[in-house]
Amino acid sequence: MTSLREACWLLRCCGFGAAPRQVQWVRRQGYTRAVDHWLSQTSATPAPEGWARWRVQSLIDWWLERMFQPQGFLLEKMTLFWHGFFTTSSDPVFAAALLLRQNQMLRDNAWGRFGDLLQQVSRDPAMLVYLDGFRNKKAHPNENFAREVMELFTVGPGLYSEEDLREAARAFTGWGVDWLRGGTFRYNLREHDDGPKKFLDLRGNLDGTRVLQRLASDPACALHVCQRLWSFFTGHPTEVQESQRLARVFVASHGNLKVVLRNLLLGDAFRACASLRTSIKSPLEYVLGLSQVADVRSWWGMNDLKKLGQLPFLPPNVAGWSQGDGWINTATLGERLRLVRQMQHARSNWMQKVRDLLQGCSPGQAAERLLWSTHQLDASPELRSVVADAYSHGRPLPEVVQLILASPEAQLR
Amino acid sequence: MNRRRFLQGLTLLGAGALVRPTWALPSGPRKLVLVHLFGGNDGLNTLVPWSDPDYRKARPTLALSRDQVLPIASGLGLHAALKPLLPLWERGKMAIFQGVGCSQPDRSHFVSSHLWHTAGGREGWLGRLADTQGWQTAQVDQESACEALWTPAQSPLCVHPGQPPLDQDPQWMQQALEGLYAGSSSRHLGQTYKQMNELKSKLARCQGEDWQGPPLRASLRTLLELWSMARVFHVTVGGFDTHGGQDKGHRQALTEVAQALAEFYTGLQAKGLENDTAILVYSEFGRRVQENASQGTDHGGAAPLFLLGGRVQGKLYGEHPSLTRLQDGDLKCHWDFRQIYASLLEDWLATDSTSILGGRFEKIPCWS
Repeated sequence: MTSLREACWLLRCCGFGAAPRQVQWVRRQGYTRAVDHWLSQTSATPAPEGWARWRVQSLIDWWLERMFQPQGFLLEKMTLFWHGFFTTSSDPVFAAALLLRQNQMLRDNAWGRFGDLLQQVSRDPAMLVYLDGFRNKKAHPNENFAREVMELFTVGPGLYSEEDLREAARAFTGWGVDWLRGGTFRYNLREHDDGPKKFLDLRGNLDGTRVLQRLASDPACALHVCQRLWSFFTGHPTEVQESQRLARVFVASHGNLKVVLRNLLLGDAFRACASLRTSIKSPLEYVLGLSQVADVRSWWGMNDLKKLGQLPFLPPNVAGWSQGDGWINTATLGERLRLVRQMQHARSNWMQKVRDLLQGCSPGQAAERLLWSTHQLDASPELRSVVADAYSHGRPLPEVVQLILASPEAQLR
Repeated sequence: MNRRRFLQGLTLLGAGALVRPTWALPSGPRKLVLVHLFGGNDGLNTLVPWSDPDYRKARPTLALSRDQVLPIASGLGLHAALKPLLPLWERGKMAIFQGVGCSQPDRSHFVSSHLWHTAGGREGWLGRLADTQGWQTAQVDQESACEALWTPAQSPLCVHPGQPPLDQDPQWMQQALEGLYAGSSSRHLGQTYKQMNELKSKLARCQGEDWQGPPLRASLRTLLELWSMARVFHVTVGGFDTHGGQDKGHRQALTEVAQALAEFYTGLQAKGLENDTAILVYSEFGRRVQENASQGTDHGGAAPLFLLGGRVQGKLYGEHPSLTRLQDGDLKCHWDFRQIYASLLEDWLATDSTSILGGRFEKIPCWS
């Protein structure tokens, strides 16, 4: 049977919390079957109602609601990964409709082939606006997209020259947005530079499709994507050997992301991280986890997410959010503790349930039940004894609950 | 002359012959405060070429007239909202660099801020400074989006002004949390909690109504309380993205900046810190010369930059950019912003600017 700690670790990495019922399910199913079950979930995402009139705010609500669901969280997690990888910001792309379409596209391709995803992203109108692709014309090439596609989206710096970059920008000329057709992709041949080009080891009349194919099949791209996947899913810095192993899987499977992700989650290196207890939850994981605990949504606002350091559709820069320790500084930790303090005031119904649950318990039993109620099944002996101690001293229950959720362990996956 | 060469000069003179110039008086470590006016401050309506007919032509509704500016040079005046800063200008404690930007400007807030924060590299210039010098840094504002500024160094002390203090919680809980964090399996969590506790006593006073109000004022007041805890401070303040109805909004934003800075400067003087401090006020870009159809201005290019401090040689630097020889509708830059960074790094903080900025930028002599 999968250990309690390992089940919690897996759930927190693959989703946005480890509710007791889910932990028990993972333990019964077994680790591998649980992962395979999540990976088998469908990606079809019909457009939500009334989206045409949406602002970015509604888009965020819609997405957070999806993350909150007990099903499909791994797909949402992977979509969030791509959102931070192929960043696009609502500044300057304020058109919610474009951002929604991009978000759907990332979800639909989240664990397909990397090469296909890259082609789609590069033709995505929100991306074309964000990285100035739509300004990239034969007479005035704009290199912004060409630079980022190589540096951040595929092979990483150091493998190409400025000359390669200029040639790639020429290859992408003519890719733009047709605003008259609701902001869809348009390949304007009149703006495309169809002269001969030299890009890395390719020669000839190259176009954007060919350049992207070349980049997606480069072993350096495989390694780059796998390193980013590792740090996103574990919250730990790059592990050289494991990233190289995953990169070999990436290359052998021709960039099949489902195969790569499965290998990552089932790998010894990932499973070994469970015992470290140093991986810091992202703000979204923390906030959605708290919401699951008390089964309430949106008792916090968008401004809270911003102060915590992770508001979807507003990444800090084109390189996306930094994972792990970067989430926590003296201000964001203070904001987390403030939020927990607020939550305990807002949740009286739930608190009554907790009270009922603790009727006639010994301090040891009460500690167990409190940790169960706050989704800290895998709490350390230190936390257990602090909670039991607080209970036996007759500390008010809401305060004990606040202590658990403010504890360092509650900040960790 | 940098600090080291100056000190070498002192040794040659011999202690007996030494007549101490004022700036060799014993003082605390030199500090740097950066204020980012986020959104793209309209430089043309900050340092105003009010007598230039091209200015009036480009700004039919937004142009400020002579009685709406504080004249500081022939044909040039500061927006009247900057009046609280006038005494500093008159005392020669405020340098204004005209036409600061870069040769390849970008009109996205995001990309351009990134450029100013990283000096064109992948890491933050303040992060590299902190990393090479081992200095503690601090960020005091409501923003979380400055992280590129601080890489690769350890995260700065971060304070959101007005955040309720930790000691709202009962004593027993604070003690229990302190114990748990001290023993946490994550060293980073443990350290951050400890720093937060150290900040607690410093921030104890920063509560209540007096600390609310305009964000920059709250930030700078809070910053002064934290003075001893860091060498370099960064503050972001918004309100400068004036695409429409600019007149009122811009006046309001500048008023708040001027009042906050003047109050901060007085606070520094009261603590005898004026001569240890340099304050750089910048924005990620200026705005288009031609006003738009909504009585506002769109994202533009070069803009003036302000440097304040007891050792600053206060005057106008460079020439006002031409209003007719434009780059894509924007003012051209006269100084690259990294030249100012280099002057701060070399002449103010006595560090090596080349490694921090990733290249050699010609300094601008601006210290007294």
